[in-house]
Amino acid sequence: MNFVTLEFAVFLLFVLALGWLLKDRPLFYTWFLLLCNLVFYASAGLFFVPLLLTVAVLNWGTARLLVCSPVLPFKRVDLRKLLIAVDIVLHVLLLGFFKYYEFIVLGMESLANTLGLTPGALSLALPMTDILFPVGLSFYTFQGLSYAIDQYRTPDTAPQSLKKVLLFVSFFPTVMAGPIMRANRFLPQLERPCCDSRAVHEGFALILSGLFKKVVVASYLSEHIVRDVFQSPEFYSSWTVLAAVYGYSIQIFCDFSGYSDMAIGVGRLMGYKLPENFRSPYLALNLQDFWRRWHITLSLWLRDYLYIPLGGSRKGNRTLNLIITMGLGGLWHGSHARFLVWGLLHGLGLAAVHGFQILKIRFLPVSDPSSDSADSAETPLQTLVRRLLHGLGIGCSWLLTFHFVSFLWVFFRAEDMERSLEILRRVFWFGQPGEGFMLMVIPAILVGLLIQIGGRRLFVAFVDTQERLSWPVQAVVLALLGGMILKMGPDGVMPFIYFQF
Amino acid sequence: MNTPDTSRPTPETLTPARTVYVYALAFFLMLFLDASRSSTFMEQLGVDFPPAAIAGQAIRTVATVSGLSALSRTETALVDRFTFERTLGAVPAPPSSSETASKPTGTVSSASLSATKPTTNSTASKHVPDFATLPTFGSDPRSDAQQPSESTNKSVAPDLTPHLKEQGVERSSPSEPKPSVSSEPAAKPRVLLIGDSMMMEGFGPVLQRTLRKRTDMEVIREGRYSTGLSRMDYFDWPTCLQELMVKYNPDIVVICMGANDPQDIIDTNKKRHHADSESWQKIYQTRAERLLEIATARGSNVIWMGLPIMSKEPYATRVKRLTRLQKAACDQNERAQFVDSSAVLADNKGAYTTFVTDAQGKHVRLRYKDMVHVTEDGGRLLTTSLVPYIEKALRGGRDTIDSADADATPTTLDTTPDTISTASTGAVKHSEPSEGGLTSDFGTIPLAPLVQLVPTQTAVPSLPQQTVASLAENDTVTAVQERQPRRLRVTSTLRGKEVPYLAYIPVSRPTGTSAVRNERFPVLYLLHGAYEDYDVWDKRAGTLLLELADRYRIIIVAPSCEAFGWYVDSPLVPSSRIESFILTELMPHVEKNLPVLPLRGAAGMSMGGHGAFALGLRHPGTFASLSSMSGVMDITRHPDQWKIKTVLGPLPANRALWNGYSAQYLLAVITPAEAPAMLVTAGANDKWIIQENRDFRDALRKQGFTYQYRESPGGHDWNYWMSELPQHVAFHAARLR
Repeated sequence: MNFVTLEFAVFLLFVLALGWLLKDRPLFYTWFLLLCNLVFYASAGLFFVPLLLTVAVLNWGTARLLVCSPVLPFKRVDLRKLLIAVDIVLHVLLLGFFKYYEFIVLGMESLANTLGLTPGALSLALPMTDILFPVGLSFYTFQGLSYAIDQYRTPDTAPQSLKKVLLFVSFFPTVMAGPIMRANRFLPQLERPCCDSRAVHEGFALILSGLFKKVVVASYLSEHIVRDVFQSPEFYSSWTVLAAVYGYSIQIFCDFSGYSDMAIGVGRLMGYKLPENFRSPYLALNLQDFWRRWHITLSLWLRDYLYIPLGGSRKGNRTLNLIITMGLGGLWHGSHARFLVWGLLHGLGLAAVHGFQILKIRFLPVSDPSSDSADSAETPLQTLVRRLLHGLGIGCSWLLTFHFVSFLWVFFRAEDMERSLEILRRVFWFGQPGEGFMLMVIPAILVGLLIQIGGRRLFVAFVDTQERLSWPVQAVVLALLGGMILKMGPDGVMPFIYFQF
Repeated sequence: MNTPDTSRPTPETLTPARTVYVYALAFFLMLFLDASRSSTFMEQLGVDFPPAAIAGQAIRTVATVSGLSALSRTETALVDRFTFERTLGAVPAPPSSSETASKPTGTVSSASLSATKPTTNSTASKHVPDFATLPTFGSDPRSDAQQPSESTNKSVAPDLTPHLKEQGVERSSPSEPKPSVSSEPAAKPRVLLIGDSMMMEGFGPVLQRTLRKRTDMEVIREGRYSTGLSRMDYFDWPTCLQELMVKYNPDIVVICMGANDPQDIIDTNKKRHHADSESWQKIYQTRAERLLEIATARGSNVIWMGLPIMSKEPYATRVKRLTRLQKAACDQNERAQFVDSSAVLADNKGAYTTFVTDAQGKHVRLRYKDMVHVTEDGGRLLTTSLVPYIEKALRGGRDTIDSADADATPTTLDTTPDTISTASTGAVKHSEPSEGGLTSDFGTIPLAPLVQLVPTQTAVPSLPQQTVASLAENDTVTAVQERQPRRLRVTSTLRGKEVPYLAYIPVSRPTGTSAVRNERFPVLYLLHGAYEDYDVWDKRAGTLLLELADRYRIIIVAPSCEAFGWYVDSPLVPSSRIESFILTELMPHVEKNLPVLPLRGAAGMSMGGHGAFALGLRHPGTFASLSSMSGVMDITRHPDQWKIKTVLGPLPANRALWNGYSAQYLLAVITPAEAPAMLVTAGANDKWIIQENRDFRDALRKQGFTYQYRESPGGHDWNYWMSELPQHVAFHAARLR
């Protein structure tokens, strides 16, 4: 069930209404919520519900065993390690089978080919099958794993009941595409959903903002420039290709952060606070900063459960750790070599930023602020020059970061290397002939950038206004804006019904 | 409201209960704001669950009454206002490349468009966004035949811009196959790709990419996700295609759709037809035929790409079935070629497969995980099997229309019917390789060039008497030399002047035997509408009529019959005796001076539709077939309109006279046995005459006449008539033999 469908709107209406009726009976309420989650997930495919249950049961069982392991006659620490290792391996296998099987087999075939072997025996040993990909698998396995690993790291906390773990893993706003929650933040909220009025106001505003980003900006850019240019870049002029590269940066931001906004907003309406996923990522001044703002829950997950166990910045080779983490993070996005390339390049970029920072500290020690004020002999001109230089530095680092990120998205999006290189060729050897693009693309890109600059302020102002209106008026305002947003969406095709087989 | 707190919250605070209220209120408000869509949706649901239909009705009513729909329209207008479409950043290739050829044509066309603008009376039509509602009989009697043509032009003008996003480089988009616009010698043939998600993902992009790499054509792709022919309520392909045809005027249309179609059809009477039922198949084929009619109405050729083999049941069987229906529909239309692609992506045993093994033994994925859509590799295979057909169609050109317009260079036609089979991959199946051609009473006649273009097609049933004709003698067929209708004059004593008329005569075949040289043809009298004169046919549809005359071997005569003559013998205006003129002066003149057979049909649009039926029904036996496009089937409904009373006098006083000329009343004086063949068509959006056409149809049905009636999207305008004209001529050609 896509969030931007009539079905989901009706579903949410039922969830909210019945949830409110059952609110005073916590036992019923949790069972009801669990049912909602399963219905929501089953709507994507009944076949995969057992998988969701498996992930929940695995992690619940691991956590349980971790706690009661003292009764077993082994040395405690080793057994705990073994348990968590088994859990992780099982999850990796699960992901590997459902998500990477084909990628691995095809990769091995290519490898065998380049080595001059016939892949015949290989393809017999590993038959190709049609494995459907269970929606959201990457998200809820990570979510579930984080619970088991946290239990391993903090052995003194009491394990949760199966019902709660299942509820956490399958929570319907996040089950499809995040944000990736942490059990220790989410489960306490299950006890008593907050009834903060402001949070609900924000929830409504978040849903609207998500709709706008996804339905208006992202789909416009996708329809009018990105898809066509990335499909066949050789027909477009350098200007168009450049616009498409920027356009895709904005599109993927609006698409994904729009989805996250809606998920968080839906969570707020139900009384839960979900973690923030995006914080104006394109305002970042360096790559490290970017990853602190982009898909925050994934970055944090990778940091806590991959980078730090690898040794982080203390043990081992920090650069290598970074590259491995980012490479695997890239591969997490999809089973295709291009995601690996994208991740590795980001890892390299991060390593370069780290290296630059070390150099900077060594060669450009931070001037003591006290000496700055003491040095009052600075003429106004010098102040001006210093400020200008500072501003220039910020501008340059912003430009560099934004372009680095944007051009790496090319590898992420273009379907094969040939097309990625064609896009880069068209941009770097500027002035290639070809077709133009719609003027409206520019405002769309600008809106996407301005959302990051002024979006927060606009959001707060909107919520403040809403807070001053009585609730029926609030509903009218929301409906008018919502209707407007849906009208601005792609025309001709109804954004609601979406039928598929 | 049971709030748990003792202190009542202020109205601004959102308690959990109010959250639900706000959400529900906003939800329903949005439903009403989008009433047009949501009520349609509910009414669809209502087929299985009647309360939903009532709810849908309720939504519509509430939205209208409460003014929410007006608000919604304001919102739409506001959104439209900020949508502008202009391209920038196009960089033309260096002059050596052939691509620059299209640049200057753009400037020419925009200049010609802006030149036409000031000459028109820029009244209300300027604000009319769609071109379907421009009446021919405008309220302004001064407007001559020129007016509709230009207002159509103007209203099409806004439509020229959107396609620039596809093209980048400006170029014109001729709205009609008129010589003035479409005769750009440098224009490359244009291929329009339409379809569902197959056209959007995998196959479509690869096909577009492949074709765009060639310099001998322009490619436009207009796919729509989740669409097809089963759910017209969700997306109306025929209407959309009609607009696309006007916008791009393509030479070849490639259609690939149906992946979403194996689902129940709900017809206009809200009746459900199960996807496996007989009636479903009938409806589906009719819809496919309708789509093909629209696609071919302007002389374009259609290549319908069938769906590849599918995996899951019952989906796969249904797809196979609808593929068969699509093919059957293509067989009905001589300009359509069906390409069966079901074997292209199948394995050696002809079964579904997701992977194939390439030459190096590596697996290649052909289908996405949904087992329906194709990957780029699968798309490449499909494209390879399709391209030969497109090449073939390109070589043939767009029948004779464009080649004649551009430059009278004789086009030598490729007449080897089996080159497709040899050029295409072995996996492609063909329709039965029977050669197309037809013979008539007048000897063996080759089909118009188009049929050689699709040589593997079975002969077309709508044409008179098909047998297998030898194609060997077509080897030297060249393009039609004479590209003008004959302009003749008849001295009319009744009307006291020389009356001009046009005669579209089929071109004589160059390698004719003597029998063929003395070929005689049936004749179709084509009657013009009010506010117009005979030359409107030439202006609007000249090339089309020439081509139709060739194709159907029929002479088409278009006489001048006064802008408000109404095809009657007027007791008031002595010179306005059109009925007698046609019967006693024009017809003998035609039969004396032109190579005609004693087989006559009458057709007309608007006032001419009335004329054809009035003449035909008043004088049984004169015409063997009658047809009306958007005809005024009952003049008594228009006592004060269109100057009918200037020829017949005021209605109340001359009731009998009016009734005597009204087609509706004339049905009472003729028996089904003596009635000629009748075809009545009207545009569904034609507010002027649609009701009386429907009533006329009901009368026909009630009284047991044999007739054909067709209502299709369109207005009282030349877009509609251009799309209908070929079918009308075909109708007469089939009856006049």
